[in-house]
Amino acid sequence: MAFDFEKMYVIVGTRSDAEILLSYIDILVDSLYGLDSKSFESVAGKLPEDKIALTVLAEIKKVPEGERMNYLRELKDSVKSCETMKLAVAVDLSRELIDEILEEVKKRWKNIIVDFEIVPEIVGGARISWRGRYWVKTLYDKI
Amino acid sequence: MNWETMVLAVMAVAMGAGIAEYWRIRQELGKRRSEDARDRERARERAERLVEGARDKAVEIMREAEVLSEKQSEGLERRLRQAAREGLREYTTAMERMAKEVQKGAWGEVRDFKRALELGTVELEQTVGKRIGEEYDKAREELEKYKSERKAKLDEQATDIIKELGRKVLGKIIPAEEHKKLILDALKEVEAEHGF
Repeated sequence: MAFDFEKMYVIVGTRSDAEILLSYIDILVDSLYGLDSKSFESVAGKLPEDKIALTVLAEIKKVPEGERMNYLRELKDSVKSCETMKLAVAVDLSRELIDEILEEVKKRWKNIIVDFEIVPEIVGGARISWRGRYWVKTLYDKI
Repeated sequence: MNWETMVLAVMAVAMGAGIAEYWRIRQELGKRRSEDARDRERARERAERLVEGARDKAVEIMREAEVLSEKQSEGLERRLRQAAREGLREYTTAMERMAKEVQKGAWGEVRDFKRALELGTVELEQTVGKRIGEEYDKAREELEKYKSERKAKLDEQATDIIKELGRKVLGKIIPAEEHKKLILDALKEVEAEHGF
């Protein structure tokens, strides 16, 4: 059975998002082997009510119970196989600003995770490392 | 006369002869003893005389030897004094001659040395002056070079400091929206360069 992870790609934009999602997947996979006290429903109810947890739970509930294990495993592999773009910026960006940047990134490239790093020395702009290449588009180098 | 009487008579004669011989020999022995004593006495006296003569002779020889020794000592001493006087005179003469020669040579050497020193001093002054001039020029060049390098380094450091200051100030005053715009511009450049 082929699964659609499009919505998951939308909500998982940064490296920290991906790490949170992978930890939820591990918890949910364990719950599928658990007893009643640690059953999937019980564990799912205890997950934090953040955007990632709510989305993954909403998506998994669409999958038949017998396929949930495969879904979670394939989702995990899929997230792990995403490309990572390293983006060094000068300041600690707000979540809204990060989402706006991620939106622009995902418009251009699919299945990509952005690893943000704060480097105040670059003053402004970004230093990007991706697919073995390196771009320096910073104010530091323009001053 | 019977046979026994005859034996007794012979024996008496023999005994008488024996006694007479014994007496004679005893007399002879006494005589010889007295002669020996007399000879020994004479020999002792002779020996004493010889010893005394030898002692007198020895004393005489010693006296003569002392006299001779005194004479010889005096003569020897006199000769020695004379030889010493003569040797000292010769030595003094030789020393005076040597001193004159040394003095003469030394003054010559001193004159030569003085002359050479004067000439050398002039040359040395010229050489030292030249060398000092060269060293001074070299030191001045090095100083100028050092000053230039330090100035360039200070200029560079000043530029770096100004840049760093500008960066720090600028980094704090850029608004979030401007950061976003700069980041998105960077992404657009990456997209353009990457080709997709």
